[in-house]
Parts: sequence; structure tokens; C-alpha cells
Amino acid sequence: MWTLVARARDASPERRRRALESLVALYWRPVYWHVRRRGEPVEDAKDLTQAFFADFLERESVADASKERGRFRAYLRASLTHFLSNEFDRRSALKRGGGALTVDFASAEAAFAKSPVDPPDKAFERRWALDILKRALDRLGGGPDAAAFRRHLALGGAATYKDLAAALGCAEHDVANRLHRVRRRLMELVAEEVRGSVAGPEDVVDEVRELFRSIL
Amino acid sequence: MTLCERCGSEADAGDLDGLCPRCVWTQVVDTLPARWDDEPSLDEGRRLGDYTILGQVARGGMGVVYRARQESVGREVALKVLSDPDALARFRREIALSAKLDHPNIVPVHDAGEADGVHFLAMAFVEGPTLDEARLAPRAALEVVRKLALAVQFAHDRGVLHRDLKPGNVILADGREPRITDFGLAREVGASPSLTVSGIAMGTPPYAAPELVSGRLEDVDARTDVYALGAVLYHALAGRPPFEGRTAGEVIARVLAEDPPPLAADPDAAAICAKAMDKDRAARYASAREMADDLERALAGRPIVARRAGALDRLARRVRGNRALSVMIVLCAVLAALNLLPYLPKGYVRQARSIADRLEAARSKSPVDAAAVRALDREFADLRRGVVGTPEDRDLLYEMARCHVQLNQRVRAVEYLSRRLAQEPEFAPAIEARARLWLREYLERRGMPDEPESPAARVIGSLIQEEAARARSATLSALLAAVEDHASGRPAEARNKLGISIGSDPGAWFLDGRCARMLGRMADAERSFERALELDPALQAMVEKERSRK
Repeated sequence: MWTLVARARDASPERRRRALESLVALYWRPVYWHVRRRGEPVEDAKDLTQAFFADFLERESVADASKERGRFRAYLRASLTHFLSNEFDRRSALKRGGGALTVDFASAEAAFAKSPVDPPDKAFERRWALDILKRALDRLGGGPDAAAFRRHLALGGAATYKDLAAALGCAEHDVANRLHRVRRRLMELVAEEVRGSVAGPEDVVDEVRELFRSIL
Repeated sequence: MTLCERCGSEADAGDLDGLCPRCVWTQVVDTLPARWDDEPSLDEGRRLGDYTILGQVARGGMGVVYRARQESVGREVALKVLSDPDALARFRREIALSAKLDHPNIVPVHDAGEADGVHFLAMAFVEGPTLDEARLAPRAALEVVRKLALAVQFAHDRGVLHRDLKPGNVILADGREPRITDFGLAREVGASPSLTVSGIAMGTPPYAAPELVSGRLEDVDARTDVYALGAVLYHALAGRPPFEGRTAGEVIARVLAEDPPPLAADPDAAAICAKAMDKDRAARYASAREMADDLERALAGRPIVARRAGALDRLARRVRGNRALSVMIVLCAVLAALNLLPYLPKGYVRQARSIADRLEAARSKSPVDAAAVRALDREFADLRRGVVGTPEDRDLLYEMARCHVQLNQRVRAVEYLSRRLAQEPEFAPAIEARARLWLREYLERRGMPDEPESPAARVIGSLIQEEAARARSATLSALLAAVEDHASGRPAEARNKLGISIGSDPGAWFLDGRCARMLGRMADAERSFERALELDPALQAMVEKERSRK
């Protein structure tokens, strides 16, 4: 999120720390997956992830504020690649330590272990896309229509319109309409999630399509 | 890892709480508008000039619609808000055009204004469901569309075409009286297209006439709106749009090539629908008023103008109910065209002779010429008329498609397969056959790895992907994934994927040959190509193209 990055340049160390935490909370999983796919063992990967974010924030705090950065996802990935390939920076960052940022590495590792064997960049994209979707789905919330939508798209055994009609207490021909409204809402939520990481509204549609490809 | 039943992709259930990521993303991408509007929602109570925002009503690809109060007059209005300058120009047009239209079934536009940098359009606020939300009884549907047709005629008389008529643009005031809104895509009849809507297909694909979706703007006239009225009637009677698909591309393909699924409704209503939605403009009602008149006749129980199923052909009557005969007749006709008739068993030959005779005059001796193919098509059209809606019709369509594949008429084959699928959307062999034909086209358009992918190729590519999933064809999915790898310059990966699908699949062998050539293994390539040709001689042209590369 560009606003978060801007806040990271704030003079107050408290604000900077909170900006760092927010950024990490949003984007640590893709970074972790990328590092693991490079072959780093679990402990090193944890350290590197934290170190990367600390380093990233430090760089951003002195970087030129007016520079056009385009899509944050690509920018972050490029920064990560650069960070990892620079042996000296890596080691010194590891030595400095990234501080104790509490994130659930165990669950990320568990999901990672079951993920397809992608090249590191693709793993980054895939996890990014999944995270966006996860956040959007969380915001979609509960409610009978949303629940029907989830049943409709469940892995291994999705519900039929007939089942959904029974569950919703409506006629079968109404199910399509209601699902459509949920779909639209979800699309809006995804677009809002994506909007924060791209330069302008004209990039939103492309970014969503690109993320879609990374799931394929 | 679990396999998703819908799309066949593998996913970890933990990733998205048991949902299939690919399916969910597909739904999101399919619902994406052509562009995203950054419009932040205006809060309740916000003042915009003379208006106070009361609440948000809708948010679409073109703008956000609010309910508002016009303070000076004390009435409720609908405010459409947009700050994009291109859309602003469309707004101005909408105002200019709508201002001419004072009709009980058209929503009037009051005013256009600007406040705090926000541009808006103020129009009458109409409370009620849109036509796609409401459920209407058949007679009510006819009456509603009749009123719409009269309103559309009113607009046409004043030189205005709507061009984006759809159930979503019709509000049923108090659930009964229809009112048309959103003349946003409207244009003066006869005016030259000075404003282009770049990149967006004009109108909404499921309800838009063929000439509109294929971009033949010079062919757009009053009858384009008549088509839309027919599509709206279809939706009102059937509860769903006449053409559906997972992507806009798929819908457009159907609009151009297929008939909509037959309506299970009153035959008069169905006939009116069919006439209004004829792909040939000349066959539709010449004006919205003519359609309104026919609807009135249907409601009054008087005979309508639209023709019902045509007179039965004597031969077709003989064919009806005799499945083996109809299939054989098709075969005979084709064989006649290819000059192989003498080799069939005599019993069948006698029965098919009358048809074969019609082709004899047109066929040539060497590869089938275009006239013979056309004659063949006409022949089948005749036959079909008598068997429409019966199982024989389906067989005929499928046979036709296969014949055209043999005759290397790829486009026609796709048309027939599409019609077959219109009658039975889940008929897997037809889905797969059509996807393979598209794959051939896709391969031709894709070219070499460093060639940019054309938009058309992209549409086709995603189409094939969807269809492969629908047909549950793992082979086809693998083929397509291999094509992507290959076209992205990863022939080794492509070869890996093909490893699972190679075997008796000619397409897979062809791709393998292509990969081998890319890797410089010419002898291997040649062997793969030969194997491909053995399995499917129709690949000859593509193989030649490959051999002549570089």
C-alpha cells in the first residue's frame, strides 16, 4: 500500500513501526513463499523475511517520494529479488536482525508445503493472489447469500442450484440472481483490495487479470 | 490436495477455507467491468448543489446512482454521478437525446449539473424492480414488452436509437408499469459515429444484436433495437438471457453462431421472439411498432404475423422418426459430394438418392468446391425444418459438424457444433470437438514465441480453457497448457505436459513435433508430425506450415 509506505517515512519511530507492521501483515506470505522456493531452509527463511521488510522500509524512508512506482506488487517483488541477490546486504541485514515481528510462520509453512512447486516468482504471485482473495472473502462476510455462494464454489462437491434454492428458501430461478449479486460484491471487494496497490484506477482491471493468471 | 469438480484444478482446501481459488477468481474476472471507476461513494446527507444525497442505489461500469432530494422542489430524484471526462460527453448526449423524449414509459432526465467537481445527471426516481429482478407471468411479459416497443417507437420517431436495451435498463414502477432508462449509449439515427466507446463492445452482449457485437456499426438501425426487444421478451418469458456464457467472448460467439434455446412458452410468444431476434435484419419486424402490433394480436388471441414452424418438406416428413435413415441420408449426401456414393449398401442408396441427386449437379470432381458445400448446407437446412426439436435434429447437427470437419470446413463445423450444444449444452463430445477446432485456430493465431498474442487469440485461448474444463477433458487441458508453455518459449515444459496426453491424440503429436523442431531435433519432429498426420489427415495444412518455417 503506497499510503503505508509513505507513513513509513514518518519521523516518529512509533508511526514507522506501526506502518512496518501493517505492511508486513499484508505482504509477508508472498515474500516467505518466494524465499522458501529459493531453497532457503525454514529458519533462514523466517529471518530473511523479517530482515527484508526491515531493510525495505529503511530504504523507502529515504527514497525519493515523488518517484512513480507503478504497481506495488511488482515493485516489492523486484526489491525482494534485489535484496536476496545482494549477498552483502543480506548477511548484514540478517546480523542486524529484523526484530520480533509476530506472524504465523507455521501456518504459512504448512500451506507452502502443500502448494505446487513453482519457481520463486510464481510462488510469490500465487500467494499474493490467494491473500487478496482471502481478504476480500473475509470482508464478504456471512449472510445466507454469501454462504450459498461459498457452497456453490466449494472444492470437491459443489452444491447444485436445487440444493441452494432449498437452503435459501427461494425458487431455483432466483438462485442465479442472488449469486450474481454476491459475485458482484466480491468483485468490488477484490477491486478495492487491488486498488490500494496500483497507481490509478486504469490499472485495476489489468492487475486483477494478471493475478488470475498466477492462480492457473 | 483436492480436485475441484467444476474446473479440474488441484487446490489445497486450507488455502481458501474449502473454496476453489481458480473458480472464485474466474467468477471475479468474469464480473469485472471493462474499466474500474475510482468513484468513492458519496455519503448520505452530502449536498451537491440543489440536491441532497439520501442513499446509494447502484454502482455499475459507468457510474454510481444515488437516491437524492431536490431541495428547491422537494422531490426525490435519481442522481447518476461520474467524474470521468469521456463519460461526461456521453452524459451530455444522454441529456440532449432524453430531453426530446416525453413519454410515460421513458424515464425523464431533468437536469445535468456540477458541484464540487462532481458531475451528475438528475432524473426521475423510479421505485421498483428491474426486469431482470422481477418475475412476470407470460401475459404480463407480453404486455410489458408491448409497452416498451411503443416507447421505443416513440424514440425512433424522434430520431433516437437506444442501442443498449436490456432487462437491467427497464424499471417496473410499482412492479407493473415499465420505464426505460439509460439512454447512455443512445445515438441519433443517421448521425456519424463521432464518439467511440473504445474497447467496449457496444451494448450488453446477451441482448445485443449480431451487428452490434460484431462491430458493424454501419448496420445498426431501428431493427437493432427490435432485436433487443426480442431478447428482453425472451428473458421475461424464460427467466434467463437468450445467450449465456462464462466470458463475454463466449456469449458473443453464441450470439453470432447459435439460435437461443427453444422457449417453453406459448407458441405465438415464441414466434414473436424468434422473428424479432432473427440474425438477418431483413427478417425481423421492420419497426418496433410492428412488433407492438403483433404482441397486441397475441394478447387478443388474433393470428399473428410471425411465422410458426415452416411447411414440412415431403422428404423431411418421411425422415421424421427414422433415426438411422436421417443419419444415413447425411452420410450419403456427403459421400455423394465426394463421389463415393457407389460404395454404399444399395438399400440406403435408394432412400438417399433424391437428396444425392440435388448435389450431383453442383459438385465437382476434385476437392469439394464451395458451391457443393453450400448445396449440402441448404439440403440439411431443408431436412432440419421437418425435424426441429426432435432427437433426429440433434443427430443431424452433429453429423453435419463431422462432415464439415472431414471437408476441412472448420468455421462451418464450429457453427454446427454450437447449434448442437444450444440444444444440449452439456453434450461432452460436441464440447470437446468444438474446443479442438478452436485449438487449431488458436495455434494458427499464436504463431512463434516472440510474436505478440493478438486479442482474438486471447479470447479464443480463454474460451478453449473454459470448454476443456466443461468437457472434463484432461487431455485438452494438458494440450492447452502445453501450448502456453510452447508459445512462451518453454518447449521442454510443453513436452513434459504433453507426455501425459500423447498417445492417440493427433493434436498432442503435432505439438510435440513443434517442440522438437524448436529444440532443433528435426528427425524427432518429423516423426511426430507423421504420427499426427496418420491420426488426423486434416492437420496437413498446419504441418506444412510448420515444415516450411525458418
